[in-house]
Amino acid sequence: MGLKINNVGREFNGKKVVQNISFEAAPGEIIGLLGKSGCGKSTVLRAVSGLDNGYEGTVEINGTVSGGVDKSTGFIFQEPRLMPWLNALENVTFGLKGSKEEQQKLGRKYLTDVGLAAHEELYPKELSGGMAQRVAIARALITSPEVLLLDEPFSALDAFTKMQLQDLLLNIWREYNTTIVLVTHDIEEATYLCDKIVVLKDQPGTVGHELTLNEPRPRDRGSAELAAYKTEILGNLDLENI
Amino acid sequence: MKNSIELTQGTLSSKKKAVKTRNTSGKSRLQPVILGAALPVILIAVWEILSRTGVVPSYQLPAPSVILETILGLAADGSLWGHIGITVYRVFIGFLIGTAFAVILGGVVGFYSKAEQIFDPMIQAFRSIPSLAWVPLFILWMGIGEPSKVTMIAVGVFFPVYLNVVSGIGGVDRKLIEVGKMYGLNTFQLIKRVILPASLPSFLTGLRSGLGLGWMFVVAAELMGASTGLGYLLVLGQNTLSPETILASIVLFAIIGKLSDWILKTVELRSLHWQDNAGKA
Repeated sequence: MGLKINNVGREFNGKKVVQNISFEAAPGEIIGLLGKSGCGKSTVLRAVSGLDNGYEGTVEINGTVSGGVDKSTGFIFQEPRLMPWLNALENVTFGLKGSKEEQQKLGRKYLTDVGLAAHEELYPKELSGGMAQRVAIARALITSPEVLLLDEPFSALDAFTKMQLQDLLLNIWREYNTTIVLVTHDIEEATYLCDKIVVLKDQPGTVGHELTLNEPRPRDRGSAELAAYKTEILGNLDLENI
Repeated sequence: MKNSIELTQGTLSSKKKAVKTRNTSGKSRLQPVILGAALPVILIAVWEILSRTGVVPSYQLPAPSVILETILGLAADGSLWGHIGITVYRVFIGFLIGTAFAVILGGVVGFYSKAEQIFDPMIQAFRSIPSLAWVPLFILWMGIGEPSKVTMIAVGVFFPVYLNVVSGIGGVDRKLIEVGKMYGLNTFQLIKRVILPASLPSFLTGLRSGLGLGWMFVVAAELMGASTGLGYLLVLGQNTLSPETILASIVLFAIIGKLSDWILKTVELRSLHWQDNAGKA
């Protein structure tokens, strides 16, 4: 599924947060939205998701203008946002319809995919941050979304869990060929995962720079190529004006 | 390395839990009971001694053993069960009616901001009236029979439950509602699958404080005029100059009140086991 974001702008209480944001994602592409905090990355993502309808401009999903939450879209939030009264398995199957047995069967499969097969009975209060985020990832994937939106999904995790979940995301992407839009402030994460990086800057946020990465996967986190991309992005972020 | 530590933590904590549950069934479960009972036991013993030795005149404060005898006497002639039964019945019916109204009205006010604008100011105004002030009016309207007493209790139960239902619904995490929206849930499904479970803790808190007020109001209602009930025993004790009857009634109120709260607390613990702080309340 392709995505096309045309001139999206959003203001809150008369104050413009983002304006004239346009970018495209081809089916199966991973797009990174990168920028400093407060530049409106998440605002753009919420507009794409349909959770926020107060924006200007249009969001096209597969050629049709989206007017709300699209069934084929999945969203992974910054925090796990699990229902505390449901156990891991019930949280994963939260968005499913159909018979209970089928739900559970599918839920177990996805829990296994994220490496939590043995923890389906645990409640969110008993899960560590990384485990909870895995459950959230499984919950978002179980409806087989064609577009997956991620809002700084790994930012609250330690470096090791983060790398592990990034690779998990790539595995999933390879298997389901999902179109992914990833909001992040982590340049290394963006260069490791994305096919295209859209750098937002200024306030209100605008597209400052667009960068296509043709590196083959699996990428080497420490490679000179990724480091060169990082330098290029850093040069574009005008860090003096913080 | 950190990662592997995190992964094993899951299994560790489940092991720890098993150990804990084994412990609670043994010594550590008894310890709080002993600690909590120590002070009352000492106080009762001192009281017994003071009454027996005549330091405190028994026509003002009879000994605990006398109070116990009074209760046993009431049980022996069978009137005890009647008194307890009618009081529990009044509280129960009043509690049900008050809770029903509170849930319906609180639900409507919680879900629709228009309804909040219409109802809430009036309800808040009524809340500031001390509920006991209604007693004479209810007796005037409904006589001194059951309806006025039950209404009285229902009014007392209504407010805490109502307030907690409204604040529970209003306090549901918007982030969880967004998750529901992301899965295309409609309003009814959102209420059923997100808002109701999320506001359950607040509702149960309301039920418990509502029940507490219910016990308070049954005393008021029975003091006003009743021929049976634990509240009537209070009046009877006053009129017959027998403090042991008054104290017996107070003790029974304490026991039954605590028992009913314990039932609700058990329900609370069972249905809110997923809460991070379950068991501390």
